[in-house]
Amino acid sequence: MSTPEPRRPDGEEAPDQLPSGLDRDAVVALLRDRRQPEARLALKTLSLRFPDLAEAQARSIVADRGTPEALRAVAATELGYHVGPDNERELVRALRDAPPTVLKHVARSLGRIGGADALAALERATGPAASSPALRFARALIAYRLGRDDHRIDPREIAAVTEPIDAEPTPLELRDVPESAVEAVRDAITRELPATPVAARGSVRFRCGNSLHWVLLAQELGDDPAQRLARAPMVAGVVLKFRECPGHWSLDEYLLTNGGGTGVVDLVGVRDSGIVVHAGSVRVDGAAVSFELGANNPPYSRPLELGGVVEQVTGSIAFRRAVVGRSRGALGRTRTPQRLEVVPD
Amino acid sequence: MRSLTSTLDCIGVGTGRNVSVLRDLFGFFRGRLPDDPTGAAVTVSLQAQLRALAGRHVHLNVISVGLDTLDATGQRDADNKIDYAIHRTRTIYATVSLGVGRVEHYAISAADSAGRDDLGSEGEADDLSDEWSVPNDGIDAFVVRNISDTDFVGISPRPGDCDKGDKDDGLVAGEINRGAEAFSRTFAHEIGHYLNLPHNHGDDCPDTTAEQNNLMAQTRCAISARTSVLLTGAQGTTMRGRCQTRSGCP
Repeated sequence: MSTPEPRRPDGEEAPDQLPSGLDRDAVVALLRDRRQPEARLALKTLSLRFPDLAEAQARSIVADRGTPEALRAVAATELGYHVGPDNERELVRALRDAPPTVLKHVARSLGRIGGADALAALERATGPAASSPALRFARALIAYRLGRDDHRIDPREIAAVTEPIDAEPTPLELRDVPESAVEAVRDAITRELPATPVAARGSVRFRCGNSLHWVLLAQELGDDPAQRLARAPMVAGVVLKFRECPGHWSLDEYLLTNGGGTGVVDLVGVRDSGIVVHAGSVRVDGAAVSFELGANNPPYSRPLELGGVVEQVTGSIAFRRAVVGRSRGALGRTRTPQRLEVVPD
Repeated sequence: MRSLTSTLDCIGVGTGRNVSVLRDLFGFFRGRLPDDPTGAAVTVSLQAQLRALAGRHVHLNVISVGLDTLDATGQRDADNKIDYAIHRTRTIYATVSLGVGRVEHYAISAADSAGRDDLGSEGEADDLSDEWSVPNDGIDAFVVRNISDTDFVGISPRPGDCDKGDKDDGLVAGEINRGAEAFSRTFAHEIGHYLNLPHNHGDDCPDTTAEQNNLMAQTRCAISARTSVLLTGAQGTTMRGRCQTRSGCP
């Protein structure tokens, strides 16, 4: 059962936002009484302005079983931006007793920052929540990071819904991203991908819809991507999306490969909610690496055909074909919310 | 000026039934004026609304997500916040001659939302707007129960797509558990992005009071949720030029 949030006296408004001039001590002071709505605002403000303090506060809040759920959910989410054994330990503890509304955020954060201990805890989880998308994907994401092959995502998940590309596809314009551009936003990228270091070199950018995207490869691919890709599952790269509002780069898809012994390995593009949006394959032939991506999952993605190689010398992605079409199936797979009619007061 | 009936017909509100001016013309879900959080009286003008709809205007679909889990008091507060946000958005946009026309109200229950009533990431906001859409010419503005991610208070593509079913065909206008004033500013701000307005500053907040008081200053830079809602003539031109705006009802 969820704990009801404390309510203020009738007619008394929750605060809109904290005054921008509040110093860090004043913001922290607002977190002393965690049952007041200001506490949630204070944690969000700390995260924005004093992220180091936010991490410690978030850990303490996640540990406090008496904290209102909405605040604990924010704290659990915040911990997913900071790698650290204490954070992982506290999230693992919360996994055992967090209410469903908080559990989703605990699992997501464990997936983002967790290692072997977190994976073991997620595997031990029981009850209906154990099979929830959040826990399933948290297990998978950690397993890919650890190179384990027991939580593979099957690209055939979207085989039944994938669409052929239009007769007249639109070329996707791909350009190199200067390393300096990646480094300029390195802090934001590290926050978004705290346990998945990505390389600045060899990145490409493209525009899909009205949004700018970058494809960044995992640092772990190193100088011998073929060897690493063939060996074991991994997070081979990510697609980042620039969000005009709030105004920063954030994750669009993880690019996961199912390496392990053969020359052709599966490639899946997965959102952080665990939804598979793209699928294809990577071919490893000696030191050469080529890839193709041709399956899509409407309404999350458009039909596309991507193909290319990872250059051996530079570690760059070079596309041989990159076209995108219009989704005919998206509207058919989009749900219409329930229309609300007049409610007499 | 057109009659009320012909204007309602023009904006796509059926008139073959009893209509409520406050609900059908002004879009207030409760069919009455919203409460102002300061206690100030809220007033609307029928003449001003008919005049606004004679010019460029936008239609909205306000889609609440997971608000069915709120208790009765919470739901009443939520309904009032949404109506207040519609009122504020209309008032703010009126300063640049952009009307707010038909407002339809929709709901996704917490159970149907698959957890998207409490957004934990920007990607999950994309999931929500990808999974749900209203097949009409209104802008889909989602209002969620909670945003647990510390990185955003609302999220919108810039600009929003002209066609439903495309990648960027919806926006998250905010979380209902913020104060009414802040929620309403974010609501108008995100729709501004959807209508192709960028922030009016870069990573650093703007220096001048006028810029800090612009609607498109980020929340962290705004002086006041209530008064930092100004728009410039150029911003109005941009908004009125977007494909989501409808021609006037002459």
